[in-house]
Amino acid sequence: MASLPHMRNEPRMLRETQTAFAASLIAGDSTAGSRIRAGKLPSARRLEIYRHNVMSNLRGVLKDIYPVIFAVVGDAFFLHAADQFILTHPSRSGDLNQFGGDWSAFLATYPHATDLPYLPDVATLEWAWHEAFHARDAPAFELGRLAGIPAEEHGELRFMLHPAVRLLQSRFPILRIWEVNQASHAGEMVVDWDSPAKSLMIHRDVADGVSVLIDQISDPGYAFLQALRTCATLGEAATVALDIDATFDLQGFLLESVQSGVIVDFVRERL
Amino acid sequence: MPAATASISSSAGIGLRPPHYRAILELMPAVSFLEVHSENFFGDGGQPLKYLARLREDYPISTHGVGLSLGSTDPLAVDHLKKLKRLVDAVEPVLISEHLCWVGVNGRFLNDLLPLPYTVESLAHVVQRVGEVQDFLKRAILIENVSSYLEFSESTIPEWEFVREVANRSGCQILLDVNNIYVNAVNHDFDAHGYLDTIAPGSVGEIHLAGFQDTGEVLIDTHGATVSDEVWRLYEYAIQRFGCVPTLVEWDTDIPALPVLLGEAEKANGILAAHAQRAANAA
Repeated sequence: MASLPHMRNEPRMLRETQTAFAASLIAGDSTAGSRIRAGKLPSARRLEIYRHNVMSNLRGVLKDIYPVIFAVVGDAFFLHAADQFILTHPSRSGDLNQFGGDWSAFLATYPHATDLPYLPDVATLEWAWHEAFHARDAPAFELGRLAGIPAEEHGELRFMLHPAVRLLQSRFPILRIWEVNQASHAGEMVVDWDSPAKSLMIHRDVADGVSVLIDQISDPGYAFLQALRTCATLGEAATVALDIDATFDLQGFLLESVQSGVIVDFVRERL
Repeated sequence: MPAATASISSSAGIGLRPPHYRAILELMPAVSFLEVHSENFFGDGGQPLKYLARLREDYPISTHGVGLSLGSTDPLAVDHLKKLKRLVDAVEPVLISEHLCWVGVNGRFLNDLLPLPYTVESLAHVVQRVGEVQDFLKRAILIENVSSYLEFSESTIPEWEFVREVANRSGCQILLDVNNIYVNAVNHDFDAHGYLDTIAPGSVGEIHLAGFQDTGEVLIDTHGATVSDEVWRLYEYAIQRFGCVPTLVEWDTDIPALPVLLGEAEKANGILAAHAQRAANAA
């Protein structure tokens, strides 16, 4: 008999059982019931217990990452949407912090959310917050390094954003929606739906290095940081920002970005 | 008892969960160690790792994984293992543990601690996988028995023998969850004390305690209540058999204020102290 010396014995029976069990849980049927001892409870009921556990774990993850969406739409809406999402967007990791990144895209096509067109952008904001919370730490900008470079070469430098920085724009007042739905919010709940589109920056507080902040920034400031994000030189990013608003205080914005830990480094390489 | 864990054996530790981060830093309670869910610290940076770095200055840390999917027939997730290794290198945990279960298959994670069919084939598979993880981490790990609400028809090995053999054959230690044994004993109608009698003293490196919920049809391992009287009695029996083993109280749903959890740890301390006293008297 031909042997396959490099191949381990595949646990074929185990794989079949796991495949059938998982399929039954996802489908919510009892086809895997024949593989389960009934005992005091019917095997279909035992499968239901596991399905319930799986669904409630994942719902809980979405609720933790998207508390504002939950506050806006309420329990029943959220659970229905979450269940649809969980079944159509499988978790791909044993690390649940990776789960739920497609929630915004899902809400954009979720039929029951058509009357709430701002929901996807709120979800994008909450996912950005989640990413910023877990992002890599970065040491503060070393101004001394910059001082060592002749001023006429500064335009060629490529400034780098802190790994936690996320930039987003919305035609909806999502920052206000976010604020009034915080547990700590006291006072008026009024949202001005006619306010103009806004540019937002999510980043970590330079004071403690870990608290996540959401700031409204100017459109040229937004364009400037976006350009830096795509590895533009300072000169190129400045042009993009000044094209939007010739009066943009570039120097002031750059300094503020360094001081607030949004810009943390630079490189001199030509790309 | 390995020297490294001797310092955490005479009194209980607690599971560290986000709602308690601040309270623990403020109160610095006298618990012997803190156990974290490894995956909660898989991020690249930020607040969770900052808190953990701060707490590890004052407490031994144990990392307890829930997502490695040891029993799955999918290949081991290398990125998951790498993140675990990164955490282990940063924290230098006193104990590293995972569950005797699978959490997903065919690339789809169900993110729940799903029971295995206890067969010769599963046993060989799990032993192989534990070996791979230990080789990767260059350290022995502990494997926890899980609670379950079903048994697979194809199972041919009693759970307690399966647990014992995984440890025997892979060289890992057992993280004996006494609550899970009690829950399974009720759900599957076996003798919990007999389970403990099968496990060799010396193979148990840690004990977990938690609360369950009785739904009327099964006991569900919710980690959302105080430890039941029956489980305390089983724990006393376990300590008599296994000696003073690092003991951890877990609470994961409806998490109460920190003092409630500390109260549970105190109860475990009483049992550990009484055993130590008896052992001293006997000697």
